Amino acid sequence: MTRSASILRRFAATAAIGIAGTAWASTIEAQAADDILGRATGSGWMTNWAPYALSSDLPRTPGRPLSEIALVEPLPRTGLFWTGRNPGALAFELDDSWSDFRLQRTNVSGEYRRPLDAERVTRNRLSALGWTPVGDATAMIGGVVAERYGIEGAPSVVLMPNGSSPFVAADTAGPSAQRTVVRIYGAIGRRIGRVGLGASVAYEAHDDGTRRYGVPRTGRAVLPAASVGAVADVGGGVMIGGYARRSDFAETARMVPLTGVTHVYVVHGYGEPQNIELASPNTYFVRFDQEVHAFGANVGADWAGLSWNVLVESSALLRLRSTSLSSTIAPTDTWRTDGWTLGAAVRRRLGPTMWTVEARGQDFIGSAQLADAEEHYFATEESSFGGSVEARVLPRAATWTAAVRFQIDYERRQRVDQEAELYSELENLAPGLAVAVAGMVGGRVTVSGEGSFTSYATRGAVPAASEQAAGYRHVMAPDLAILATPAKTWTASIGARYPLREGTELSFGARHESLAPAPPGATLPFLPAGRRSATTLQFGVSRSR
Amino acid sequence: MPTRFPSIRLPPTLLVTLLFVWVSPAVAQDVTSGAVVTGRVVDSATDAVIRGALIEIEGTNLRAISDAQGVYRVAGVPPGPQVLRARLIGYAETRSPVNVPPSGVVTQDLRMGVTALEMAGIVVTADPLGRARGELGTATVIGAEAIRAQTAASLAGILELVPGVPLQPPGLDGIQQIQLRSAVMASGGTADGGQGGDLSSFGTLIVLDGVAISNNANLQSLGPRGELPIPSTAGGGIDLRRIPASTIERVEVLSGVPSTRYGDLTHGAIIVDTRAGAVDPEFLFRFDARTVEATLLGGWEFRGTQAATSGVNFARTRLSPLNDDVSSRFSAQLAHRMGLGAATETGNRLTLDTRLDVFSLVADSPEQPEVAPGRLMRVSDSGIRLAHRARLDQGGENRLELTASVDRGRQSTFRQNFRIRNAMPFTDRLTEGRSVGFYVGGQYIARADIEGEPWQLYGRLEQTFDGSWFGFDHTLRAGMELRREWNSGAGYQFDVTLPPQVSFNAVGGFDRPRRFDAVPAVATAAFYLDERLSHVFGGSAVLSLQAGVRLDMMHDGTHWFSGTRDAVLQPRLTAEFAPVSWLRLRAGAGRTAKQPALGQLFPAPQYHDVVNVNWYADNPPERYAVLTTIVLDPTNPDLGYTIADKAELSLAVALGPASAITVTAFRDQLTGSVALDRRSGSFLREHYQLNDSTFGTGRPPELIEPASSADTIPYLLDRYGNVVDLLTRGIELTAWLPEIEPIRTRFELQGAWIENYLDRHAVRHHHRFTDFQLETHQTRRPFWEGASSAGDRAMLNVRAIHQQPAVGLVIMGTIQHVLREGRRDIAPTDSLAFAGYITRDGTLVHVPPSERARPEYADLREAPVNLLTERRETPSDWLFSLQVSKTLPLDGRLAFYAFNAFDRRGHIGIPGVIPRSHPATRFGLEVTMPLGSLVPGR
Repeated sequence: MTRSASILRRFAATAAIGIAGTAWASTIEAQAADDILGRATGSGWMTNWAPYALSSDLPRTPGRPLSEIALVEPLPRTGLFWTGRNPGALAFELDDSWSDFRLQRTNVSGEYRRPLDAERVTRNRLSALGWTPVGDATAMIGGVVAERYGIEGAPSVVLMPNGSSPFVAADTAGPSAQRTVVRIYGAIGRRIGRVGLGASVAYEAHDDGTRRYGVPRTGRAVLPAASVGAVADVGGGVMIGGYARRSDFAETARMVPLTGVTHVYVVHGYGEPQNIELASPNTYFVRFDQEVHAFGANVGADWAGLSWNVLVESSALLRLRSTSLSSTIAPTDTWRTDGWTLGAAVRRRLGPTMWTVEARGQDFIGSAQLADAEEHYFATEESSFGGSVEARVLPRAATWTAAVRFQIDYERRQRVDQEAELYSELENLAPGLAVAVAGMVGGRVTVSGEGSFTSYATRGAVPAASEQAAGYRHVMAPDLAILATPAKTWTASIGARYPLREGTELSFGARHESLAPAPPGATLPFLPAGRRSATTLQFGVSRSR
Repeated sequence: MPTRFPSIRLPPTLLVTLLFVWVSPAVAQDVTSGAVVTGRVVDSATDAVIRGALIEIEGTNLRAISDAQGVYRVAGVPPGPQVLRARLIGYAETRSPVNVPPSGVVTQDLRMGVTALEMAGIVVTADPLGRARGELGTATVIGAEAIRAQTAASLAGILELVPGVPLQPPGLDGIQQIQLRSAVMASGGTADGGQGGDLSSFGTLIVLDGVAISNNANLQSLGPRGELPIPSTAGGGIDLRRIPASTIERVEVLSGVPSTRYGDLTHGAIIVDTRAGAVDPEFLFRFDARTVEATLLGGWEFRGTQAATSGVNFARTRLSPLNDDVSSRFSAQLAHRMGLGAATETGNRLTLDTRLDVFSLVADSPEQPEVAPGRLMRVSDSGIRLAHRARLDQGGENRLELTASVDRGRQSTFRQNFRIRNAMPFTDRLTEGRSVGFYVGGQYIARADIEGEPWQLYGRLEQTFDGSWFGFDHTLRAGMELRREWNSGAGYQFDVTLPPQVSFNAVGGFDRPRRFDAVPAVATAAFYLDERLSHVFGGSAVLSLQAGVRLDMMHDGTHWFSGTRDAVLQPRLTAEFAPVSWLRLRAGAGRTAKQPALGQLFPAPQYHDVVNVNWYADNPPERYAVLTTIVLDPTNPDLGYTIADKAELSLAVALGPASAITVTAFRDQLTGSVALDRRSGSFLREHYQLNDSTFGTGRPPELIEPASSADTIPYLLDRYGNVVDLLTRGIELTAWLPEIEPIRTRFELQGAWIENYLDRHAVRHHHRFTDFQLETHQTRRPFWEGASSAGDRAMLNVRAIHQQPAVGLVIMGTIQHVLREGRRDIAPTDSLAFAGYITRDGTLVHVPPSERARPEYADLREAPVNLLTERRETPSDWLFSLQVSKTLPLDGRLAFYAFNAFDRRGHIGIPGVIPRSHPATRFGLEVTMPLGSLVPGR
């Protein structure tokens, strides 16, 4: 058996209890990338357990590509910790050591973009991640990410403009900006007999600033989060657990006209956005303070080669918006959501293949209230359900492996602005297929190739943009047009790993993603033309024991 | 110039002090008492013995080197809580607390790791039991690992580990100064008139590698009437940004009564040691949204007896996201150590240390033509310092030390601003007399250029005797310090026709260019004796005393052989009693003194230009102005030392080897702090008739002699005086709690309650004094006696330190909670509060309180303004900062930091409350990589 065959086996087969991983909730990490494309590379499952998952929120990402299978990466793991996000299970699910350092560069550009997407985004990312058991009963995992974004044509004044919250703001000038992000996260779990206890923490900070712009915009955001959890082995291979999680989010943005003038559209819902002309000495300030509480329960088991686990989570989100720079006790606008999340996965080995079936869903309701109003004026009811089936050929002594995944996602959004008497009701369905092949080259190098296709279909009703005023047509109409337009997404990726010495490997990966409306030339009013694409290159060094 | 010769007062502490000094024999003897601390030094990763590690008892000169079996043995260790410090190149420094009995043998094994983060129990905060070298008074010791964990950009960030010091965002944002034991002042409560920091920074001594850094010759100021704001530390402490944190090995903060070795201070001393000797080369890089910093540092031993260390640091902070303002620092150090002669217990017979330090701080605010045309500023502060220390070891702890340094700075401040003025008569006359002036006004670019070259010559000669006398171990230090400071810069220069600052109509005067090299030098000398005694009573109780006396003299000439302008005798005494090894009781009292800064001793002449004729015609050739220039010298020949009488009581309880509680109560009374003391007087203004008072003649008119009339204009002369008293008192608490082992977390509490009372013994004039000067029909205006200000602050820092040595992880979270903060002015505010009135000829006429209600004083009865007599509080609030350190492959280290990690805004816009606005979140990463493997032969 050659060395690379052994690598293939380890990456494709060792995580017998693992389940092909896609996140069961969106994360701020995904949203901060600020685009539909350019996120789903490599081993996202390695950080899905981090406590900053954003529950009760359904970002609008029409045409989102399938996550990468990445056969040269370690097989995604799941379980009560890895995808159930219960830190109490860490010590049960981790018995090896791994460290990974990665340098990544992503470029996203193209005209087919949501109105608050940037024209062009370049992201340079340096990340480190590691896990290890400590002693017999303790395990730790942690990582750090540093990112620097170069953003051209950045119209959004806020960090997460495409989430469920109706409170966003758009700068019509769309200046260039630079963003620095540092993220640090970790978890520790301890096993005490048949019980596991654990805690995970995360902290993320953003610093934004426009470049060479007459109305300089500064922004900053912090996201501290923590969760505690406990699991118990109740016998028969069954584990049950529960956890509690809290994540906060504080964002501040400020615009100070110095030499220029711009207009800011402040959005509250589907009504005509407030149009603020920013010229000296007027300034614009917005502050968001958000907290999310979530409580979840897990159950999982490994029965005669069949492993499964289920997650149920209830969460509540409260987001406050203040536009007063001069007072911290000024009245605030509020956005609240309450919802639940369900996830389930099953994995079983059948002959030379491993089959993984996954299902997930979330449902929540949200309502917004302005500071000077007594009642809610905006309400939303949103849900998403999805599932996937993946089959991998286990390499054993062979020097190649392959995988195929079929995935389907369904999303439904009902959003009603009672004050403006406008509503939208959209359903979308996105089936997708991914195929990946990996094999040895020259006895030491493992290479992989992968492609995927996603078809985004939609139906429903949106407000007639032609009847609305300029602000709506600038900010909301293109967003809803993209959401209501079928699209197709293609991806192609290649990867390679090269063993430096025992346990240490170099890795390389490249991925291209392309999103376009389908059929080409669809002509909904205010629908952007063209396509959008992303390219990612990454180098890494990993070490395992 | 009259000489202010001191009346030297002898407080009671002096008598006790002199007694101790007198009875102490100056004969060296061997160390005979104390316990023996011994143990084995092993590698924390492999358990292999470590040979050649240097083991020191912190705060003493006791040391030993581990032998081939890794065994060390230190004899004569004073009883009580001590800290063992182990160092060896290639390993991280280890500090290990140990309780030492009065006699016997204590075994304390030490584990050293290549990376400190992988060693259990490393100290990553200020150590409450750490001892400053040679000091018995209250001190905070910050070791190497605590400095690394702090992820600071400069010395100021490290000092946040001192009780009572507020957290600040890391970076080079603005001038950084330390405020030891200070609270907020009420409105206007600065002792130096607001020219360069507040009282605390004014009186804190910074000693860098054994040499006092002085800012006394810094003249980078536009004076008390400067119109263009410039950042400057003139008259105050140094800018701590010049000292990069990454090059610092150890910091000792003496906030209590220091030994007499240290002078020129009121509020404490900060002793900074930079990294020297054989240091593993390493590279540090900091990545921050605003700041980038890189440090390269390494040290080598060669020829067996020599070591050289060099380090380079560069840092740059973008000051605001709204513009291109940046602040940058370049710093380089070169240190060389050479040993000569036969080795003794304490090292080589003669040790020569030479250090060369270079730094440059630049704050650049380029012009934004579209935003603020004409406005730009560039402030540069650089310096080079060569210091040399020769230490002659004479056996035991006896040694003779000679320290000398020369420090040359180059300071450049360029400020340019767009000015819009009404046309006004103007003259550039430099001598007193009358002259024809010209007009300045309209729109123009005003430029001020201040070029300073401060110099300091410093020398210290010190002899240390060590021995025993009647059962007392004693160490006697006798020394002298000489210092000479001057400034050879080109000074404050500007185009007199486009003045950066003027005051119209002769009431305030306006500046003339001034050369700094014309300012005389100031020379000071100091002599000191310091005796430290300890004795064991009853087999377990230990009494330690440190007593000394210091004489500081400021000469009235420019050298040390000239007469004495002022002198202060400063007795100091600290006593410590440890009835058992886990308990320390300490009391101290003493006097310290701080000399005035050069700019206060020799302030710039103040020019006043009385306008006699102001004939402003539309046609410039017809304009005619006549002005009489009067030059006033604000020099105060009586200006002398600020005196601080300090007292403190302290209790330290060691709860275990790595836990302790200390409580310190202190009281510092400053007398005669330097501040502006406005003296009144008057000018005679003559008015003239003109021979032709019609426009359109094409030529200026001429005045007709003699003057047709005259009146008097009162003025106020800005003059420095010893006019402020400041009382500071408070309580400091440090609780270093034992580790909670199941969660590997230790908690540390640091609290400080500090209260300040400031009395200003200078009259306060009417806030519209300018109107009084101009409106000749007003015959008098009230004045008030000086007001007092009070401020207090109670602050609690709670640190949680989580360590995972197995994975090389340390997480430190700090919550700084301001529990209480308030301020107020103490002064009567009713309409009868006036003390008297000033007449048009500048005479102050006092009115007795009993007469102030009389009808003839009705025009004086008005309430003083700008006083904050109702106590106003800042809301209680907290902020959280986070630091995480983790080992990297190849013995590297990664640190993450987030200041104000929750981005709390504070309390803003609450009616009736002083706002508290927290600095914005600042976060970043710091990577340290050792380069030893890349250097051949290491």
